[in-house]
Amino acid sequence: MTCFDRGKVSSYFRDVLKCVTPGNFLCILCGLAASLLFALVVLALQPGEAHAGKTTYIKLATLAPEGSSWMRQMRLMGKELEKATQGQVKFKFYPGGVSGDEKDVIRKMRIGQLHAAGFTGVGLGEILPEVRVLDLPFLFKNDQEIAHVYEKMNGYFAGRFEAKGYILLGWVPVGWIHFFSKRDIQSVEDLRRTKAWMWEGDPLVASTYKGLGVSPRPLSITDVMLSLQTGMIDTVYASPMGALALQWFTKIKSMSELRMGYATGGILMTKKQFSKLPEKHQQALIRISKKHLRSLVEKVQEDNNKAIAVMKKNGLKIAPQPSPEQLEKFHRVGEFVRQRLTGKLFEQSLVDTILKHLQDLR
Amino acid sequence: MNHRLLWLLILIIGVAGCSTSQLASRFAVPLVAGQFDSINEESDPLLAATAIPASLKMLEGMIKSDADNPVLLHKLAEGFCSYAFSFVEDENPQRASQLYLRGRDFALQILVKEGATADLPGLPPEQFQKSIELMDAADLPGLFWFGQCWAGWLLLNLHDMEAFAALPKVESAMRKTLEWDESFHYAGPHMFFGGFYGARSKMLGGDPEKSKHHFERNLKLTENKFLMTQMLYAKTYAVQTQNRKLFERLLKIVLETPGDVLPEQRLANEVAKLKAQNLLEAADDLF
Repeated sequence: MTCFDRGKVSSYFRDVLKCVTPGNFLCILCGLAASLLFALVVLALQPGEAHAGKTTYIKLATLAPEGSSWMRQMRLMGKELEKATQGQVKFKFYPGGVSGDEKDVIRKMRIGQLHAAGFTGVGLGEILPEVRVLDLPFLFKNDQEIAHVYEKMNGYFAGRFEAKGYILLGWVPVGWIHFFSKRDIQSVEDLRRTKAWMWEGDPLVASTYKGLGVSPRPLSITDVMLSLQTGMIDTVYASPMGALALQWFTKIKSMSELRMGYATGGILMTKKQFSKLPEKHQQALIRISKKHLRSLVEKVQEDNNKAIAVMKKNGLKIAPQPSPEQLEKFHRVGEFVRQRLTGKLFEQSLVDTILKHLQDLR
Repeated sequence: MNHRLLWLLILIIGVAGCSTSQLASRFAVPLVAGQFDSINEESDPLLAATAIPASLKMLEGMIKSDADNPVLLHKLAEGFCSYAFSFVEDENPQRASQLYLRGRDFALQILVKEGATADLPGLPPEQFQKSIELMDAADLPGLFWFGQCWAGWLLLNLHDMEAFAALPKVESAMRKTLEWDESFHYAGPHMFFGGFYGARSKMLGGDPEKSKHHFERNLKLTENKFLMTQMLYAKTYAVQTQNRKLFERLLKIVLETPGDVLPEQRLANEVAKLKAQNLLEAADDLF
């Protein structure tokens, strides 16, 4: 540490005090001189620019393991940001869940131990419950509808996250959610005959199963594999990549072509850390993350498609789409869930806005 | 050469049903084994890194005329995978991936020779498991290197969905080797499961307790002399549990233990030291 570190007032005085050690009394003098200059420095610089010349780290956590598509894209993003800011802003990654699950990560972000993270809808919903509107069952019919709604709603959600103290660097959805089961799922009745798993504490899936007349077994995600092995459950829901990566595909036989919903996800950064960056670096971060996260979204979609092909090669059967009458039944459940959660997770006006955007396309 | 001797040689060849080149290759096996041992005993990693490719190409040449020779196949599988792990994967993961697959396919040839299907890697997990159940303990070296090499490929290809489909198969192959002989190749099955459970979060199937158990069992069986174990223990379990103190302690042990503590695996220990040094230097990025 140098005696004269440019920085915030509090840390500056702490630094001066640290300098005052036996054998280092000269530091007191340089500290006094510095204190006279300090006010001028603070006045001359914008708050963010007070750190110019120093490296600011963005500590980012994700459940995705090192070497995955996710982390490969993050590393590219990190390199580009480092180059664009001449090494003044760098990412430090915590991949593979080393920082704990999404709740642990949020806690660490709140105390400043972490600054950014990749979340699924569950984590995003812990911070901003209304974002779960995007996870509603049987809401979207195709990729075009998703692209349209996400584009239209981006500004709204970015503003809402900012009000909670977070910058939305971009969406990285998990993807379409299918049923994976030991039997073919083509009707509501098929589902009622299963021993279905539900991620404990997830209000969306709890309501969906209620609407479907299914009594699910609530379990943590880490207990799913063992419960599939013992036969305690025989049906789960996941993205194709999830079912493959979590190895659930080894214990089930069939994937429904029917999609329960489209699971959201995204990367958030604390506003506190973001505001430490000079404005030009903030802009670089926004621009670079937007570019890389767009590539990542495409990659995730490709991976989900490839996961289906790989699982089919390894013995997975695909249960065809339900009949139109059955599809109608599933969509009615979608409406039931929307009504049930309105006023609890999100307001009617938000649901109406999204339905209007969908109506514009339909 | 004396005519009578020449005829005798032809007669021996005829009786044994071998071609001349096959016979030559079989006479050379002890020589090859000696060379292989000497590489494993090498104290200078740079010298070994330069010598290994030529040795592997010589072995590949010999296998052309003696395709079923299990000793050659075993050395090739072990050679390709150890070379990829020790000298290639940190600098060039793509090239290492290909070398791992070459090693795996030599190991597969040993298993096929004993009755396994050549399509073993492509079987769905359930059928794969059934094929493994049909094997016996004599298949241990083939199955061990088959699993080990495939795992090496897998870890470098987590961006490829095929890797996740390979995971349950690699696991069942290595579980079988653990069942047959936990001490095989410096308690290799335990080292594998230490990393298998230690390198992933709980959500993705990791299990810190099991990882620790397997690493500790390996250390007991190898009397702490095979330094790759401590290095991988630090790289996987200690990083995943974010235990920096343990990470540094394990790597310091690797660096401070004399390289010749296990003379027949001197090279592996020297490589472990190089990797340990790199890990220590990267500590600030990992914690």
